[in-house]
Amino acid sequence: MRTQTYKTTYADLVALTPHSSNWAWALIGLLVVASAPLLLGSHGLNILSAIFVMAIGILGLNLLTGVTGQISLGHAGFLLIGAYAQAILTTDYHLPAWLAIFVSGLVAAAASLVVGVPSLRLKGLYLAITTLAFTFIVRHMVLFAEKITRGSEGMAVAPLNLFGYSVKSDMPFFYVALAMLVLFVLMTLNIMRSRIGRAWLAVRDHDIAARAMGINLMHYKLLAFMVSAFYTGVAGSLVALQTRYINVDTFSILISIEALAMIIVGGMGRVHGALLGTVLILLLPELLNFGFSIAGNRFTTLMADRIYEIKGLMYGVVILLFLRLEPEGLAGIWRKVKRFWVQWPLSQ
Amino acid sequence: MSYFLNLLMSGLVIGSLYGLISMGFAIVYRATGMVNFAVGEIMMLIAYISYNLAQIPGLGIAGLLLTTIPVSILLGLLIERVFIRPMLGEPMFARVMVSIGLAVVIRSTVILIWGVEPKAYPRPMGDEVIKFGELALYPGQIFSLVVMALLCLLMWAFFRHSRIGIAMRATSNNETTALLMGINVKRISAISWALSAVFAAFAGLSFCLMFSLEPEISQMGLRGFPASILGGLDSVIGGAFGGLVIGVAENLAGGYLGRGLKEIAGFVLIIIVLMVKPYGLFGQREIERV
Amino acid sequence: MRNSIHQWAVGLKKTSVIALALGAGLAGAQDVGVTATEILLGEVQPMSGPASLIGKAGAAGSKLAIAEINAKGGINGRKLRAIYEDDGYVPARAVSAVKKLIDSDKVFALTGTTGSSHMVAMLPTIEEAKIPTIVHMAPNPAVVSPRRPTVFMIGPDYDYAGYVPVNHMIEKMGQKGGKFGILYQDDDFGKALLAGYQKAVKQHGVASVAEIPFKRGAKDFSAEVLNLKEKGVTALYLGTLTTESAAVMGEIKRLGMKPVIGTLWAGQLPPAVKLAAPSGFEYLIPDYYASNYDAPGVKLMELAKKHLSADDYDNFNRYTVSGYVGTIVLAEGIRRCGATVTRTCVVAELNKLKNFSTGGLTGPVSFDNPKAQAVLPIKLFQTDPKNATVKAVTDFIAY
Repeated sequence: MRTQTYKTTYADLVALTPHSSNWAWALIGLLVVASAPLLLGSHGLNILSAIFVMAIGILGLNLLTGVTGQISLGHAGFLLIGAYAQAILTTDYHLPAWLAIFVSGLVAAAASLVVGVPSLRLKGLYLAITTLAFTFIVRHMVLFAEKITRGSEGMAVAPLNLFGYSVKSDMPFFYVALAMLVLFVLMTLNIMRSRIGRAWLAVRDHDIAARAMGINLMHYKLLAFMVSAFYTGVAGSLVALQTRYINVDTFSILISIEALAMIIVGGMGRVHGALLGTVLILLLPELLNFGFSIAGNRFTTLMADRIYEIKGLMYGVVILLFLRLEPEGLAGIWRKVKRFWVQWPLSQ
Repeated sequence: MSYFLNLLMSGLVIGSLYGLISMGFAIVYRATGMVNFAVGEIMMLIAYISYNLAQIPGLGIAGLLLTTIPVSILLGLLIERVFIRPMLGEPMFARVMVSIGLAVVIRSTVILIWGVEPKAYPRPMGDEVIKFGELALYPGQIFSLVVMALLCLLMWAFFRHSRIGIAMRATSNNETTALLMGINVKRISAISWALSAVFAAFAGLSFCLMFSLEPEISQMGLRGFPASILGGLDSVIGGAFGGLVIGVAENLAGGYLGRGLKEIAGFVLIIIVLMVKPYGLFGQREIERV
Repeated sequence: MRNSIHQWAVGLKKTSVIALALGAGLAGAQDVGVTATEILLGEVQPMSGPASLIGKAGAAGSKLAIAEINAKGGINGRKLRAIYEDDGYVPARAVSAVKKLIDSDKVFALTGTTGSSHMVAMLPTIEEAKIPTIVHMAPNPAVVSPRRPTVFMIGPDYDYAGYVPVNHMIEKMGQKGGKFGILYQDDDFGKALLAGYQKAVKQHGVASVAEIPFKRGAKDFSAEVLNLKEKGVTALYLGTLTTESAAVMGEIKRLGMKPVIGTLWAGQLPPAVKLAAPSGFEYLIPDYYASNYDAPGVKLMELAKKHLSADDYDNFNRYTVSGYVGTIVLAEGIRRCGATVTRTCVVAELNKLKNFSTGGLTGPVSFDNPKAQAVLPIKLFQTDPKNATVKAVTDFIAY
C-alpha cells in the first residue's frame, strides 16, 4: 500500500492524476455508475443525469472560483445563456443539436467577457456582486428580447439527435450526460496540469506577486472567465436538452448560491471536491425525502403542512454543520480518511 | 414638475429602506470583513416577532420600538455567538457560506412558525395620508425616512468620536494584529452583529409599516446589495447614501423609461460607478502588500 | 468514495423497486396505480416557495375531496389515496416530480399540475405515459392546443379574467367615456390578462391610456401609479396578486386617485381582501369558483372543518375549491367505469362528461368539446372593504 505519492520523474509532475492506480479506480467507478440503468428507474436516472450535467457547470465554476480565486455569482446567468443559445440555435437556425451544445458554450464564453472585463478592476465581494448584477441583467434581457427568446413564454427545445437516434428518454440521455462529464473531467485535469492551471493558482494565491513573476493577469483572468463560462454554457445546453423546455424561471439566483455551496461543501479548487459537492447538495433533498418516508406515515402526517419548510430547514442545517465541522469540505474529509487508512495503526 | 417631485419622493422613501438594509451589511463588513448574507432573513425574523409584539393592545409606536430593539440586539448577539464566533479564523468563503446557510435556516424556521400567508401589519401611527403641499405621505413612509436620517447621524458620531469605531476598522483589516494590539476582537464582532440586527430591525419595521408582512420580505435583503456596493461595502453612511441613490434611480427609470427597466436600473448604475470607483463611492481602497 | 453514495442510493432504489413489483404482482392484472382496494392519485403542487399559498390550498382541496369520498366508502369499493410532490414553483423540479410520480410511485392519474409554464414542461412526460390528467389550477391555453388525448382542463383561459371586469365597468358602472389603464405582470400570465383587457376595450371602443408592465415580485409601485395618475386613468385593471394589489391600492389612495378597480380571480383570496381593505376600494373580482362567502363555498368550508387540519382550514380559499373540484371530477370519471378501472376507460368517460354538477361551486362541467376544456361560466364579485369580505354581483354567466 503506497503511503505517499513520490514523484521521481518529470513525467510524474505533469501526469493527469497523482498515481496510475487512480485510473484503475476511476474505471471501476465509471463502470459501476454506467450500470445504474439496470437498477434505477426513470426517476433515479433523471436525478443522476441532472447531477452529471450540474457537475459540468460546477467544474467550470470551480476553475473560476476555486482555482483562480475570482468569486462569481453569475453561474445562473451563464446557464441561462447556454440553455437559450441551445434552444435558439436548434429552433431558429437549424443547427444540429450536438454542434449547438459546443456553440452554446462559445456563446456563453463570449458573454463572459462582459463580466470578465470588470473583473480586472474589481476584487472580492465587489466582483461577486457585479456578477450577481450580471445575472439579473441577463434574466431581464431574455425577457426583453422577446423576438429572439419568446420572452416569458419559454421555449421548447428539440432533442439531441445522435447518428439518427433521437435522445428523448431518460436512459440514452443518462449516457450522453455521463460521457460529457467524463470528457469535461479529463479536460479539467489536463488544464490543471498545464501552464494555464499553474498560472491560475498563482493568481488566486497572490495576484500582485504573480504579476511580478511575469504572469499576464489580464490574459489569465479573462481566460478563466471564458473557460468557466464555456463549461457552464455547455451545462446549460444539456439542461435544456434534458427538460426540453426552458424559461427564465428555471435558472434563478438561488442556483448561483447553490453552486457556490457545492464548491464550498465539496472543497475548493479540487476536481474531486467539485464532483463530491455537486453530488451531495443535489442528493440532499432526495436523502431527506427518503429519511422522512422511513420515519413512517405517522410522522409525515404530523408534520404534513410544514414538511417542506422542515426540509428547507434541514438543508440549511446540513450546510451549517458541514462548514462548522469540516470547512475543507468533502475533499478534506476524503483526504483525512485516506490518511487515516494509510497510516493505521499509527494514525491520529 | 410635480411628477418629478413625486418620483423623487417615492425614490427617497424606498431608498431609505434599501439604505437601512445596506447599513446592516456595512457594519458587519466594516468590523469583521465578512458579508452578512442573512440580513434579509434577520430582518424577516425580527419583523415577525414584532408583529406578535404589536398585537399587545395599547402598545403605540414608541412601545413597539422599545420592545423590538432590545429583542433585535439580543438576537444579533445570539446569532454571533452561536454561528459566527466559532468560525473566526476560518477562510472567508466558509464564513460567508455560514451566513448563507443561516439565511436558509432562519427563513425556513420563520415560515414553519408563522406560515406563508401575508399578514396585515398593525398601523400604530394610523393610516391617514399626511400632506406636505403637493406631496402626500403615509406615516410609515415618514417613519422610514426619519429613522434612516437619525441612524446616519448616530453612526457618523459613533465612528468619528468613539474608540470602538476605530477598533472596528483595525479588526476588519487584520484580526491577529488587532488582537495583539489589545483589541477585544470577540467583543467587536458581537457589537457589530448586534448593531446589524438593530439596522435590520428598523428596516423590517419600516417595510411592515409601509407594506405588509409576508415571507418575501427576506428578498429585500438582496435588494440592499447594490446600495452597499454603490456606497462602498465598509462605509455605513456610504451605504445609506447608496440606498437613496438607487431608490431614486429606480423610480426615475420607472417613471420616465418604463417598460420594466426599473429593476435593473440599480444594477446598471452600480456597474457604471464601479468602473470609475472600484471600491464604491465611499469605500476604503484596500492596499495590498505583496 | 463518491461512488459509495451512488451505491447506497442504488441499493435503496433496488429494494423499493422489488417491493413495488411484488405488490403489483399480488394485486393481479389491474391498471397502474389501481388495486382491489385502492386507487393512487398524484399531484405536483408548489408547496414551498413563492406560490406556496396556492399550492397548499390546492393540495388541501384534493385532500378534502378524497376524505369525503372515502368517508362514503370510496368509489365502487375502492378508496382513494394521493401523493403530493412539491416543485417549489420551478419547472425543472416539476418535471422531476412528475417523473417520480409516474415511474416510481406509479400513480393512476394526476389531479394537480402546479403552474402554467410548469405544466408545459411536464407535458412531454405526461403524453408519453398516457396518464389521465386534470388541469384546474392554472388554465393555460397552450396545454390544450393541440389537444393531448389524456389531458383535461377545467377553467376558462386567463384572458377572461381581463375581459369580464372591464366589460362590467363599461356596461354597468358608467365607464363608457372613461380612461382605462392596466397594470400587468411582464410574463405570459400578465400578457393573457392584457389580451382580455384589450379585447374588451376594443369591443366597446373606449380609450386605453396606460398599459404598464411590472416585474413579478415588485413591492414598490409608486412610479407605476404616478404614471397612471399622469395619464388620468379613471378605470383601472390590476393584474397583480395579493400583496402587490394592496400596495398598489395604497399608493392610489395616497395620490388621491379614485378610479374604479378590477382585478383577477386571485384577488378573491381572503388575505388579499384583508390587506387591501384599509385602502377602501370596492374592487371587482371575476371567478369561476364560488367564494368563501357564497352558500356553496360556506358549505364546503364546513366539510373542510371536519376533515382538514386547522392550518388548511384557515388557508381555505378558491384554490382549495379548485383542488376539490379537480379531484371530484376525476372521481366521477372513475366511478363511471364501475369495477374495471383502467386509464383508457377513465379517459373515455371523461371525454363524454357533460354538465356535471359540482354542487354550485362552479357552473356545470363539460369536457365534450374538441379541447376537452370546461370553459366555465364566470361570476363577478365585489369586495366590501368595511367587513373585508366579498359579495357576488352577478351569477355564473357564460361569456
